[in-house]
Order: sequence, then structure tokens, then C-alpha cells
Amino acid sequence: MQTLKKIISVALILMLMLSLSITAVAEQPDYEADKTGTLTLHISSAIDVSMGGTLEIYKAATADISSGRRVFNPTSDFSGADCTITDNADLTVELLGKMSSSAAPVKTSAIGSDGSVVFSGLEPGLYLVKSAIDSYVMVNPFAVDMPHGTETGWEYNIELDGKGVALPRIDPPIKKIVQNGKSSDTFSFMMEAVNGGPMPDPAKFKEVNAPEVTATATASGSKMVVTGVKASEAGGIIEFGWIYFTEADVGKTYIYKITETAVPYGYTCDKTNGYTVTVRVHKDSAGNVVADKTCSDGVDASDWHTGSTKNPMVFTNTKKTSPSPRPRPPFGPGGKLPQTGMLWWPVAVLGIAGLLLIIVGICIRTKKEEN
Amino acid sequence: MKSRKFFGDLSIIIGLLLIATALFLIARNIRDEMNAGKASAEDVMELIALMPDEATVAEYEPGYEKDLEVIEVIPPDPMKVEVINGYKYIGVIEIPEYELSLPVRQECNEENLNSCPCLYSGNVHNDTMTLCAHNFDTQFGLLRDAPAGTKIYFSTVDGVIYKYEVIGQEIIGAQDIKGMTDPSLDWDLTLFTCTTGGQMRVAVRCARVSG
Repeated sequence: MQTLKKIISVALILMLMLSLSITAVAEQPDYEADKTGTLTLHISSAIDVSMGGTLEIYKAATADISSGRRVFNPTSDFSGADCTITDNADLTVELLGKMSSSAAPVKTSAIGSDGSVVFSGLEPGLYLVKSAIDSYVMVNPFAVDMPHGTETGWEYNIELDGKGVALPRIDPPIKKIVQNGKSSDTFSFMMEAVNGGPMPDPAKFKEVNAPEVTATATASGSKMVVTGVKASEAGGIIEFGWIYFTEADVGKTYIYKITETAVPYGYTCDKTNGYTVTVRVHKDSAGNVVADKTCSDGVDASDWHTGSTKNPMVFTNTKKTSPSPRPRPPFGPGGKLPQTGMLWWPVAVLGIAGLLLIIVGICIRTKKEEN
Repeated sequence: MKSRKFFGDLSIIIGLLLIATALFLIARNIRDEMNAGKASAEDVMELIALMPDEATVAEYEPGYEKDLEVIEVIPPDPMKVEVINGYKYIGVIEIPEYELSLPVRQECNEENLNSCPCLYSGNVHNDTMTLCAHNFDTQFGLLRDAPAGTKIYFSTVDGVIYKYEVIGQEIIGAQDIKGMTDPSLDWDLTLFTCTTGGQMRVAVRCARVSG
């Protein structure tokens, strides 16, 4: 265990040394105990910073200059920490080790679209910067003093370059095919997080090959529904959007069910039970968060973390065929439509005939009496 | 001479018998109409009581065209039924213009027709339904003169309301079953009854409407 800790520590230090380079960009004014400073971290553009990431900065120690030189006194969140360590990497390891589990960051800042994170209004002291547990982009923790002492003076505007590591994510693609017929009417797919796994943002839903596919997505709780898809016979592809997994998901296995919920009238769907996607989030031997993903029905999901659509879940709609023609409606007696009316015509016939017979009878009797 | 008197009397007697028979037919028709109105009124109350309290309106997109090829070969989902007093009902047809609200029986036969409108053919789910009823004023009799635009509602027993408007009438021969029942792009519902004389049929064609 001790050996493992040492290996991790050394690796952390090496990574930090490689990833961080302190750059003095501002003039070096004299030390001012009441002046606040700004820390700007520029994260490498090698990763997709739009994934979203959040960094936190913790105050590890206050600065005391009453003795004529700067001395750091650990805050209650870092009680007992040795702040005299001059090596930044060692100091970071020391602070991480002494950090209280209930420590609260003094500031939290999201990674901007240009990959930069800014912490302003920092009072003099010693700080620890680390990624938030739910951040999708992770940076190595590091310690920084404010203001930063350089050979030429005190620097209150500190700019650092750093590298980030993207946490695992997947984007399950779906291919919709309509066979033996015209373009379909309205389709509807649903993705459901069966056991509460993270879900995509419906606002970032993608139609891969519009206009063959046009659709909108809505989400409610653990369900996301894509409707309005129209697909040609060759098929169209949609993507639900990225599902991100963070440190907080480590050790969990999430199950997603993808089904076609509304097959157009007159068509059948070949995947009535849909597909099941299983994602196991864990850490690899190097301590990186990884997500192993598998899909039912032999679909290869290994590239889904790259945004590739080459192995989609395919739903094929085929026009139904009936073994016999539509049954004809029942025939009425004698091949007629049913009698649906009162029989008034016999009334007229009988009435007129009766009247005629009575008149004839009266005439006959009248002639006889005349004779 | 006696024979002339005999034929005169016989003619009068037969004439009276014929008139009596005509009067009997009138009385029977009136009785049938009253009985049908009463039976429909009783059953429709029971049927409505069994239907969901909150009805939903069936989705309909204006301008939608049926796929007659699909209709020809694909059987739609069967219409649900409710059984009341041993009779199977598929829904209620309402014509507010004539203050009519009638239960519709699933099976079309003489006994059922004497009480209620009946499903003759087709299915409300694919807009091919044809209903028939007697031409009593308490059933489809008044529809023979219903103007275009007359509102008609059909509620299934599971609480889905289909809205229609009358688009016109056709006189169809008693043996023209195909003309009466074949699905059309022009109408989504047909109601038919006998003409006044009972020799022909009046088909009231209705089209789905939204809202």
C-alpha cells in the first residue's frame, strides 16, 4: 500500500511538472497584504472543453508577514499541513493528504469556451486547486501561492498552462430504416435510464444526416424521447447526445433501454424489445475513470465514446403483409344492405288498394239498387 | 243480381281489411320507433357510465391523407367493446344538431338494429367505419337531410372522441355493398339508413375534423 502511494505520488508530481508551467506575465509590485489577486488557468485545447468542467480552489493557509518574511499558517480545513515544503508537487501531495473531508472551496469556476478558468479576488495565502467531483474535465491538483513570489517580486495576476483529462462519455447512435414503402410518417424513440444513470442533454440532440432525418428530443426524468423522425428507405441516423460519467459514478453500472415506441401505422419493427446498453464505470490501473460499454444484439459499442456513428443500433420498419385480403363486411339477406327503415310503402299500397276496393264495392251495390 | 251484391260486399270487405292492415303497419312502425328510442336512451346512459370520466380527443392532422393500400391489407387494432345486458357496444355516436346520443352495437343484425345503430363495417382507428341504423327520427332518420358541416362525434368505449362533419349524402342501391363500404380518401365515416320508402339507402358521408 505504501509502495502504491509512493508510485501515485511520483506519478502525480511528474504529471504536474509536465502539465504546469508558471509564467510570469505581470510586473512585480511590492507585497501588499490587503491586495487580492487573480489566478487564470489555461487548459490545453487538446480536449473538448465544451464537455463542461468545474474547478474548485481551496484556501489551504493564510499568509503572515509580521516576521518580515511570509509564513503560511494552515486553515482549519488543512489543519496540520506542513506548508514550508518548497517543492510544489510535494506541497500538493501534502495538502491533499491533510485536506479535511468537509473542506469547502472558497471559489468555484467553470471552464470557459476558450478553455480558461479564472479565479479572481483571491486574498494572500496558499491555495489548492482541484477539479470538482462532477467535472467532466479533470486537471491534476496543484498548489499555488497568492501572490506568487518570483525572483523579481510579487505577482498578483498569475497565469498557468495546464492539461486536462476528459472523463468518459458515450453517444449512442440509432439508425432508422424504412423498408418496402414510402418515407415513414412519425416515429418515436425512447431512451430510458433503467437504474438512474446520467442522461443526455436534449438540447444537444443531433440529427446526423439531415434532412433525411428530422427530429426533436424532449426529456423528463430518466426518459428521453425523440419524435418526428422521417427516414428514407436507406435509413437515417440520429444521436441522443453525450452521456457523461464522472468520479461520482465510479463503481456503478448503468443500464439504458432504447426502444421504438411508436411504429408508423401499417409497419412492423424488427426490434420490438429494443436494445439494452450497459455502462460500467470504474478506474483503470492508472487511476483514470473509464466507462466500459456494451450493447445487446451484438452491436459493437466500442467506438461510441468517440462520437462515431459507424456501429449504430438499427431499427428497421417493414411494411406489414397480410396473408389474406381484408375481410369483407357482412352481407345482408340476399346480398343486400340490411333493411334499416320502416316499411311505409306497403302502407300506401294497402291504403290505396283498400280505398279502391271500397269504392268499387259501393259502385256495384249502387248500380244494383238502381236496377 | 245476387252475385253482383255479393261481389260488391266482398270488395268493400277486402278494401276495409286492406286499410286495417295499413293502419296496423302504421301502428307497428310508430311502436318500433318508440321502442328503439327508449332502448337507446337506456343503454346509452349505462354505456356512458362505464366510459372513462376524462375523454381524450383523437389526434388528427388537417390535410392528412389515408393510405388506402395499407388499409386494404392491414387489419387495424380492434375496437374495444363494453357489454351491457348481453349486448356488445363499441361506443356512442352524438349529433348535437338533432340532440341525438346513441349507443352503437358491435354486431349488425335485425334484432340489434331494432334498438340501436350498429357497426356495419370498417374500423374507427383507420377511418373506414360504416354505421347503420333505422330511419326513425330517434336514430338516423333526420340525417337524410343533415346539411354539410353538421357536427358528429363518435366516442369509443375507452374514452377517445373522434370528430367529424357531414360532407354530403348519396343514394345507394340496396345491393351496392361495395359502394357503401369501400374506403375513400374523401370521407372517414359513413352513416346509412333507408330512404323513406325503404327501397334504397341514404349514405351520409362524414370527414374527420380537428379541434
